Amino acid sequence: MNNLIDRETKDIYIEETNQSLDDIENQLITLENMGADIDMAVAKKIFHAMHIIRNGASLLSLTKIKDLSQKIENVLGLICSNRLSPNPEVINILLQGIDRLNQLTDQVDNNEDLNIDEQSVLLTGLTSAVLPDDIKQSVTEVRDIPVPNGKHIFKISEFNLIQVLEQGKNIYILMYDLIKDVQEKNNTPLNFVRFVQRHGEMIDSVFDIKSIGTLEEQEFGSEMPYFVLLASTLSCEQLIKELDLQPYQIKPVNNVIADLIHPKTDPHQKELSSTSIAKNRMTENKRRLEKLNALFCELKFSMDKMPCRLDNTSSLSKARLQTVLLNLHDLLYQENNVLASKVLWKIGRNIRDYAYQSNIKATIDLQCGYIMMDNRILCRLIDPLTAITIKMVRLVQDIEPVQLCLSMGKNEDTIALTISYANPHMIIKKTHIDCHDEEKKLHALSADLKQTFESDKGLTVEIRVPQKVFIVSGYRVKIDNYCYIFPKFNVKDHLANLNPLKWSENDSSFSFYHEDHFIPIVNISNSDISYYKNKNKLIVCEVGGQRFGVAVDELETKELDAFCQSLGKQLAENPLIIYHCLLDNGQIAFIPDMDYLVNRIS
Amino acid sequence: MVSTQKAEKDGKVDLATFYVGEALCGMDILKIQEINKNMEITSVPNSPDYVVGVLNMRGRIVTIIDVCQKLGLLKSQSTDTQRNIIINSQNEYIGLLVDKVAEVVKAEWRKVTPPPSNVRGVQGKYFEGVYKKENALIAILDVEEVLKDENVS
Repeated sequence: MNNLIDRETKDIYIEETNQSLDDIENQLITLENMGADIDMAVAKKIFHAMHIIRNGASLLSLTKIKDLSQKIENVLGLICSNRLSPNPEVINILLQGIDRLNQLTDQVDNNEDLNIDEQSVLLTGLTSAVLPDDIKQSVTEVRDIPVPNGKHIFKISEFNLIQVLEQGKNIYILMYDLIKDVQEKNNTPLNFVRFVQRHGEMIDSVFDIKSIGTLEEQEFGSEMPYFVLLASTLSCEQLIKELDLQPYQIKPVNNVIADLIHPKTDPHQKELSSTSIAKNRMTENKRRLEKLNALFCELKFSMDKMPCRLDNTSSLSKARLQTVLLNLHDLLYQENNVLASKVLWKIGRNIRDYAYQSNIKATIDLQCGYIMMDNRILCRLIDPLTAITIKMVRLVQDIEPVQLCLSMGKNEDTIALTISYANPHMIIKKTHIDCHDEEKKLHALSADLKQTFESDKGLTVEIRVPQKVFIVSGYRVKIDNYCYIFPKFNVKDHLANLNPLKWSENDSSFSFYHEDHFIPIVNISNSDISYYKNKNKLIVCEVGGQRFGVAVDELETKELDAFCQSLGKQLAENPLIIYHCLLDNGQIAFIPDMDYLVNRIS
Repeated sequence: MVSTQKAEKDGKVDLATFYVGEALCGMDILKIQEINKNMEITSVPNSPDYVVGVLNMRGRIVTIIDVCQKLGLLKSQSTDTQRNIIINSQNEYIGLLVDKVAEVVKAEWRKVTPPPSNVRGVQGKYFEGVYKKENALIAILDVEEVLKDENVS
């Protein structure tokens, strides 16, 4: 019985596979030479040949050959469906896979040293590179399909299953006994596989080797179960007839697979759904959140301007208040700040692509600090092809910027991605990864990205995300060529084309008639007190119940978000401004200290 | 204090040299993050005279200091040769506006002498020492001293 899949069968397989691989190699080169005018017949021929190699390997339990040919088949499938152009780069990667298959078949009994990691990474990268984002993850997502005996499972890439279902094929599990269905019929396993293949696409097969028994047991099992996962356009009845099966030997599994895939077909669906839940929650809580944010900003502004020299009791109170505020800020920040992690994810992808191109295995060591890294983003950062270590690090000192460091060591053949304290010694030498778009987004977060290349250490990408970035919604105004952002929570109204008759002057103070009251005008201009005469716009603010107006040159009524940064030490004593911030256009604006302004009324 | 500091230093140093007014100054090149000629500086209301303004350096807001004024000299004249030397001082990026960037000079700390009380009109306390080069004297700027808050000191 055990001679059913014997040396001879293996030898025949290897001989045929070697011949087939030679043909595939030549055909791939032909395909490459065709350029854009792909001969689909050639492409399909290659696909089919690879399919046969894979199924043979599956039957003979040649795992590496099976896995690698599956990946090659995936790429060929994309070429056949016109989703991937067989350009020289693609063909080159395919040929690398073919080379490795050749080596694996040459050393079929002793190929432990031959790993297929590099080729797998390249081929999977190629597949995922051309797929839309929502399908990308399916390439590496593996689904378990149990066989009826309950002892075995097919482990199939979700991408393969989706492809089969998309082609409108039916999927069946066929249950054979190689002794009864092959040996007793004087057939050979390879011929048997080919026979099955004529009626559909063998997605996978499982050979129940345990049922055969072992030499130690002195007794071999009486059956040799062999399960085939077949995709076919034929109906169940047609297959029973064509393959000469008993009804119990075939089980349609379309529904099982659809159930397996659909809730999970799109791994992003989960993410989308959680995003949508988050969005709904955000909408529901929007008003509350805005209020909270406003409260936080106002409190923070006040706190930052509190005198430094306080007695012990007040210092303690201040410290406690600050702790509460920082915690509050953390909560708000997390609600609002998914952007940073998204950007980091994209950079992670770029690094991985770089690794593919450089034939370097990616290992990601990710340490999270202040940046919010929720599970959704982590899932997207983590790829089954990468080993990942995640350490959550709570940073204690809030003055230290957080640093994300992705470093690719040439010698270690790894990429390390770490977030840790900033290293002030950063040198810009050579840029290797195109992160232009991500860099812009990082800049919007006041973060900084630098890339360093050192021949001994490889490429290092460092991202510094300052911790003190927070967002304030407000309105942009211009006063004497200085651009200010007035926080939304302090702005009650904005007026243009001011009526000169509404101004009132009392001694050295000015006021403007607004909503049945005269509101005092605060001068923040460098010019003298009558500065308002040159300005015909007014922004009405309220701080602690006190309303006042500020006359401005230019006023934008559209609300915008400003990314605030703490003032440098040289400006810390400036009484007028409390933060500076970056606007989308790169312009720098200042946030006035509203307490200072309200104090100027008197 | 200067001599103590200097005594702690040994070995060689690459000095990036630049002009502050007429004084040829130097700074350990490793302290410099970058040198740029971005003059799109946004002036800051109510800021001290020596603060030229703030600069958007690839998303990071950097305060630019007029070294001339900070050292008590006349305000720097706006010229094409002006550059911002960006340094990292206590985790904060600060730009030093200098009149002209010169060359990189290899120096040995042991040959650096304590600064005189006055270097071309600038108080000696702002320098770590003086290095004599063939036909010029390079005053090595003590950046932390220059950036020190006058009110605190």
